[in-house]
Amino acid sequence: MCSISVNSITDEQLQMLEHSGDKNMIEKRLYEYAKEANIQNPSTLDLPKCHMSRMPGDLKDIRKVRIGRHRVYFTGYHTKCSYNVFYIKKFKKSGQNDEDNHQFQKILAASNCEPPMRIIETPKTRPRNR
Amino acid sequence: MTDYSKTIKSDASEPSKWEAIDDFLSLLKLATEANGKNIQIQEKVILAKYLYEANSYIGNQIILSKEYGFCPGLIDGAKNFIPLFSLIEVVDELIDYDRIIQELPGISYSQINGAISFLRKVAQFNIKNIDIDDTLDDELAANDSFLSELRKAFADKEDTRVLNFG
Repeated sequence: MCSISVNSITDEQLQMLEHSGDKNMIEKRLYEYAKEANIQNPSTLDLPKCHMSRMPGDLKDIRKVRIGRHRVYFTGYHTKCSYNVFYIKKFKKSGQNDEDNHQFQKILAASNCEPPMRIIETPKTRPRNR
Repeated sequence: MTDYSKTIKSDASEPSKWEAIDDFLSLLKLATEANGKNIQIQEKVILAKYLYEANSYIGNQIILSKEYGFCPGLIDGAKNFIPLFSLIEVVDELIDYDRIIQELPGISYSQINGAISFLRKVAQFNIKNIDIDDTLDDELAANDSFLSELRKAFADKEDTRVLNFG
């Protein structure tokens, strides 16, 4: 069983989610994921889907797990048997669509509907020996 | 005026055996790529057909619109498109994993999360070859105010609390 801790910033963010019941849900899931891991066995928190290769260099090692519509950012590995949560990107409940939905609509609707294609060309012959 | 054609002609020689092999290999590479692309398109068509038939089966309540690259979704009362993967995220937020484990003893939190993540990813199907998660991550990675907030939080190494439900 590995341990998981939250820093003061995350703690504040979790307090803000208390009224909706999401605080308990997020904490319980993080706790259970860490509990399922040990030095030999990884858990959800160690999966490749959590890696964030697209982040800038100084943030390359951070990872992210989705819990519902919230995104939880953390560090640590099962091999060290310890995880540290440092930030939660909370979903803003506006009563309407997720902010991602609007981004998503923009992304999909803006691009060309046809799948990308490439015309096959005959290979260019290299210049002959001179 | 210099007649370059003469110089070129005298310098040129017949294509060597190795160049012919080079050309053949390039052609073979292109043919393999084209074949791979063809298989990819065929797989997409098979999956799209499956989604279409599943939708017919449930009475066409899911929208498979060309505008959104046939990414499955719903249209709400205000005519907004709600992608199916967003609905799955809401479901994940609302379900109680402990209740699921009571019904299916022996499965773990990670397995439930894996199953939900799988459904969410399948629901991101689209024929535009867009990886929605990657695209959203790219947008976040380019958002300076988010990155500065993230850096500030990352620098806060003060552990205030170890989570414990034991």
